[in-house]
Amino acid sequence: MRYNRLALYGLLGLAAIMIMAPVFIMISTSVKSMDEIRDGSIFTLPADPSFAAWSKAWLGDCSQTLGEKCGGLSSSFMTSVQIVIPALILSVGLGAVTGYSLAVWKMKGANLMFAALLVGMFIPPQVTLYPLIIMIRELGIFGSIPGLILVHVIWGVAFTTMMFRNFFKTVPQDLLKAARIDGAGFWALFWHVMLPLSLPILGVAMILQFTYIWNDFLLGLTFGGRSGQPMTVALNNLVGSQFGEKEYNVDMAATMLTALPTLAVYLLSGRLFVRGIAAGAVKG
Amino acid sequence: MAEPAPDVLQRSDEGKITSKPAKKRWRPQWSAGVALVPAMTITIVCFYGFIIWTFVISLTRSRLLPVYKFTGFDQYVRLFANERWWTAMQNLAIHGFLFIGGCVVFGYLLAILIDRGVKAEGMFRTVFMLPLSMSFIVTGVIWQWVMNPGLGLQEAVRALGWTGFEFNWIVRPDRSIYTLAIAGIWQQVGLCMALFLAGLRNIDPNIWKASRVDGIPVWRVYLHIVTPMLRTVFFTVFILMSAIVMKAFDLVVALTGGGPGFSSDLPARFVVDHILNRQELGLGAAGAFVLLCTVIAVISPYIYYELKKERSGRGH
Amino acid sequence: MKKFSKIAASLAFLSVGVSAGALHAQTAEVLHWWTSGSEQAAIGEIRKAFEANGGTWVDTPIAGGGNARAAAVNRMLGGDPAAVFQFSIGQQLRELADQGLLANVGEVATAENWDEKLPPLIVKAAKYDGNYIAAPINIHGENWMFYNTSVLEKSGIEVPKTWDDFIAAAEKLKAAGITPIGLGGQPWQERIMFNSVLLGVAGREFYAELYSTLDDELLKSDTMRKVFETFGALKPFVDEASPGRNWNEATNMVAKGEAAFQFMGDWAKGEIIAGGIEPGTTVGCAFAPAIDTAYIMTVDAFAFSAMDGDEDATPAQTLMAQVMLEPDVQIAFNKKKGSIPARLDVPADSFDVCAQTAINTLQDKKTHLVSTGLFGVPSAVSGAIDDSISNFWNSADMSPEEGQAQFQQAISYAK
Repeated sequence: MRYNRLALYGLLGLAAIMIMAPVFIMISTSVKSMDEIRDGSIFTLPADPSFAAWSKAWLGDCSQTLGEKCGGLSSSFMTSVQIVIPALILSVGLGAVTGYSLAVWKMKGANLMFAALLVGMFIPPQVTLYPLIIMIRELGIFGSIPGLILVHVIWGVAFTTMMFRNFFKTVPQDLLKAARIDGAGFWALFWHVMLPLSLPILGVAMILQFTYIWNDFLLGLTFGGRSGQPMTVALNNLVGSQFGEKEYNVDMAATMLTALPTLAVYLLSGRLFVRGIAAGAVKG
Repeated sequence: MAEPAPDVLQRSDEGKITSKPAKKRWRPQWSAGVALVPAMTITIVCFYGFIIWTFVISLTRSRLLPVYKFTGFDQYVRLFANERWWTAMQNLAIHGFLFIGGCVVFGYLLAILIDRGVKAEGMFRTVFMLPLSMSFIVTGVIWQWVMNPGLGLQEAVRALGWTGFEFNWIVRPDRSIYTLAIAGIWQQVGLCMALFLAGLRNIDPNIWKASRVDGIPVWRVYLHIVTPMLRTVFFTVFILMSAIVMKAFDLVVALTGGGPGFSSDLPARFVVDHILNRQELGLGAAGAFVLLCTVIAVISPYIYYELKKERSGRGH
Repeated sequence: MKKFSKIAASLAFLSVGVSAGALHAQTAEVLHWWTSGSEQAAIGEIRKAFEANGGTWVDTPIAGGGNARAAAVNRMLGGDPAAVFQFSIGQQLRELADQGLLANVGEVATAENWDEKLPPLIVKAAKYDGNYIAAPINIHGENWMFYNTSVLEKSGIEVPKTWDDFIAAAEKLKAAGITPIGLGGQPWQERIMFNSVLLGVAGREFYAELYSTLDDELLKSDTMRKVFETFGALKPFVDEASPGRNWNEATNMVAKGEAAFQFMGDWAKGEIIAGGIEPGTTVGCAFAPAIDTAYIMTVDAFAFSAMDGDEDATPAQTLMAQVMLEPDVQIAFNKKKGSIPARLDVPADSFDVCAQTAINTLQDKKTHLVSTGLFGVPSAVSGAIDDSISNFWNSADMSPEEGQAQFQQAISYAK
């Protein structure tokens, strides 16, 4: 039995090391100098750690750029926040209502509608850029943050609906009956019974949607216009130049900075996440 | 919108409905229908409308911009004569099998290990889920370094003295596709672990007690009793991971750039490359349509089966 | 953003009849993909000149040519175009003009006589319906060979003049434990090397005819097979870690003496300078081995959106076009960019050795060739070329005959 425990921890430890190694490489590279990176192995520890690359990634280098912006990430951080919060609320909210409606109010063809909706999860958004551009243009919100938010809602609704529908399917019928006997209508049942019940799954959907929207690059680039460019576009400007010189330490620092908000969300909510799923997201 | 069918809810308050003038009352079922309008609009206009648009464009000679000069199935002839497309489709099968399989197997194993009651469970969980917070681009960039034979793991192990060590898959045309699965599994295994763990936590503890009394070995309990009970978890994992495979684009771009040659290309990247970079909108649309049809053909029987199962035998 | 274009349009209206360079505020949003340090410094020169002439520059940098081109087109479709945007000249640009999305700057071009001052091949690619729809601002060369002089000296090797010499030299270097070719194994880099071999083995006339006609006879010819044999013979001369490597890492291999040669465009000079080396010293530059002298040109250009559907350039756009081809701006910009002026009448003496060679070479119009990357051929063909070259290069067991057949087939399907 003791050997079993030892093997158990051994395996888990090994898995943890394998998963952490690449993250470690990123962090250690970001505090090395460029000379050290050119000459050394990626696994060696930094000889003289410096956060210069981090500050350059965040603030940019004003000596090199054209003036109004210094090319750092700081300038677009708030834009990302302005995009992600409404997009998150709307896409998760719509998913909750749709999932609730599909799961609880057993209309004819609800399963068919659900299956039809699921297809949306499999369409690569890049493929259908043109019709979406035309549609958003006709709505008069192309090149603005509201336009971008709508795009995120469109590409997020299939996923969020699936999460909520599968959760609401697991709510005991007796509970629903009781609520209905008390005279609760569609919205009352949703607000006072179902939504409070779904808090854990709400957390899960929020976290995953947050990750998707925060990490999006192409939709932000296409639909955001000049004022609505998210942090990932700034990140790309910092690291994505094909013909310029490469500064890997700045690249890594910038990448870490961009990932920090999602990282923080995962670190702070890891427990909630598993509890949320355990609460029934995937129960049959 | 479909007429609400009589169901449990309606039957439960039939008495109330008949006691009031039912015709004038706004029925909650109608609200349910109204609530579906936005999502259904998106489904019909954006998902299916765009799929139809893609098909229409695939019948044209569009290059940089959509033009509506029809050329029949020419683009499909060109697509099917394109060696790179077939490599990409073959890679989709390989990558789909390895990535989904790997996420399921390793995610399930990690979940079982954690579920055996370890100390510091929270720490392990957090560590395993950490890569999820990284975008595919970032994942690709990091693994490109690690797998680069001149910079990464191979060089590091050789420097330790094991000079015969070889890990050069990323530069070998016959192996590069496997590197995508490695990086992809690294990123997504945490989510699968979390989903499986949650499923395991919902298993009735009495099952474990009973099997202990009966003296059934632990691995057999997992294999024959627990696994069948987690079928909906497997469903969710399968759907989530297949969606990732079908849309796999960023990861390929950042990790291998589709190379060496086009040995690690995937259909989504083929399509995006042709639409956005090569001004081959018609050809790209043809590829996209074939890809979507493939997806629907593979996924829909499974979805149908699951939903049917759900209706007939709910609650295990 | 709509507001911006409105403002620009109304300003344009106000300044009608006022010559370019007047003190009226002229606002132009400039969308480009020059985001690295040296690129920013280079485009900063244009900005300075534009602002000195009374223009207001609104900067929209988007890294990566593919991203920036897609963004420019998508914004046009969305009705929110950038007034000035970096693009490749040639077929794609004409397609935008077909849809009435571009403004023409013919007036400046005529006044400044661009037809005479720019290389004819570039003139052709920058025009639609007889009018200039883009301002070509520089020429990069793609058939350069950079080499580490001390590595060559140590091994007793002269800079090779023919591909046979090159292969002999590479054998020697390989035996001495030096990687002969520092190659970034990405399709476009492999294609740059291939085109150098094509030019070197088949000559400039063959090259020009092949890519202007895409003729099956030429693609199937013996000359072409010899090109594939030579290119295939180079496979053993790169190191294992080559696939996927960025071009600048390959340049650093040459700078550090880990590799002897790199076939790359002249933007590599920027990386060499960043490493503290003056091009022409430790790292030398020469044209890739060839039977005659030619220069494979690739061009950076800016195109102009039709603002509010108007195909006549706004004063801000006109001013921009004028400033971009000003001789002083051409010199300042191109020295920082590592390229040479698009105008061939600009004095060469203040440029580095490599650039001077290029400028002098281009005085003879027979040396002018187009790159297949962004401007010589339709982008569908360009993509097919990259795919099949890369596939040939990375398939160890593919024979030159198979490579040639695949190349011919890919092109005939794409054209």
